[in-house]
Amino acid sequence: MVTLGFGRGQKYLSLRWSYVEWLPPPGRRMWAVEPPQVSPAAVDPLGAELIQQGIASLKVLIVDDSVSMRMIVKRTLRQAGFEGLSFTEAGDGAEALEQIRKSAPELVLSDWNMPKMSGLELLKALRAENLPVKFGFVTTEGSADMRALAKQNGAQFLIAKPFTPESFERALRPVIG
Amino acid sequence: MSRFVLPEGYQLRHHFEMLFGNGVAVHAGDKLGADAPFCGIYRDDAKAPVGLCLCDMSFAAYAGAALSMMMPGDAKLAAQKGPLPEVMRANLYEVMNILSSLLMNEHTPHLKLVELCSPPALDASIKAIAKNPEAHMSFKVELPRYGAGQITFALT
Repeated sequence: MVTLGFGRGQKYLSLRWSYVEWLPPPGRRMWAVEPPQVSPAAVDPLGAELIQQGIASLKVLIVDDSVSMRMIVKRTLRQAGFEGLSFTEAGDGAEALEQIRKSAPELVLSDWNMPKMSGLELLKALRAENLPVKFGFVTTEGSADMRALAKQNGAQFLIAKPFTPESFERALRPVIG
Repeated sequence: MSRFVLPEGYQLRHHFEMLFGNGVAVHAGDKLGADAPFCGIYRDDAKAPVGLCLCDMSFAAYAGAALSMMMPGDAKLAAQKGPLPEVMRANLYEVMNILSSLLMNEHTPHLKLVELCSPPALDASIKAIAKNPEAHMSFKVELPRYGAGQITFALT
C-alpha cells in the first residue's frame, strides 16, 4: 500500500513504493542482485520518526459539507504538528460511509449537521457495522448534551468550531499517539 | 424576552479571530432589517424559526472570502458590484453556522442554522422576526486585509 504524505515524510514513502516494484513475482528471479536495502532512518530521519509514531501512515477521512472547512481542518492539523497524514474527504455522512467501507481510514473527523446523513447517523452506522475506525466530531454542536451524546455513541472526542491548532493537539494526541 | 442569548462584542471578536486570524475589530453597528442582502435563519428542534443573522453585502463578501483566504481584491469587487460568488456564499453559510454557538448556552434550547436566504425568498414569519425581534444586537466587523461590514442578530 502506498500512502502519500506531506513534507519530508513523502520522500521515504516514495522509496517504499519503488521497493515494492522491485520484488520479483513468485518463482521468477528478475534481478541479478538483491534490491537495495534502504533504511528509512538513513533516507529521512523525520519520516522514520513519524512512521514510528504511527502518524505518517495514518489515513484520515474529513467529513464536512463545507469544502472550505475541510481545507481549514487539514491546515489546522498541519499547524498542530500532525504532518505526514494522508487525507480523503467526503461531503456528507452517506458519502463517508461508502468511503470507510472501501478504504478503511484509521481516523474520521466529522461535522455533525450535514445533508443526507448527519455525523451522528454516520457514527451509529459505523458502530452497527462493527467498523472499528476512530471517530471524532468537529462541529458547532459543542454543548454538554451533544458531547454526552457523541461519547455515548462511541466518539473519541469532540472539537468545537471555531477551533485552534491547540484544540486538535489536545483532542488527537491521546487518540493517535 | 428571548429564550436564546445574544453575543457580546468580545465573544464575536474571539470567534472571528479563530476563523480569520488576529486583528479583527468589532464595534457596535446599525440594525439591519429584512431588506438586508443575506439572512441566515436559525431554527429550534421543532423547526420553528427562532433567530436570524442578517448581514450587508460587505460582510458577506469579506467573511465569505476570508474563510478560505481568497484574494481581498475579489472580495472588494463582490462587495461593491455583486453578485456574491457561490464559494463566498457557501463560506458565509459556514460562518453563520459557526456563529450559532454564540446564541446558545447551557440554559437555552438548541438551535441550528438551516438556511441562508436573500430578501425575495423570505417568508412573512421571517420578515416579522427581522422587523420586531424580542432581542437584537448589531455589530460593525472589520476583517484585516479585507474590510468592514455590518451584521445583526435578531431573536424571537
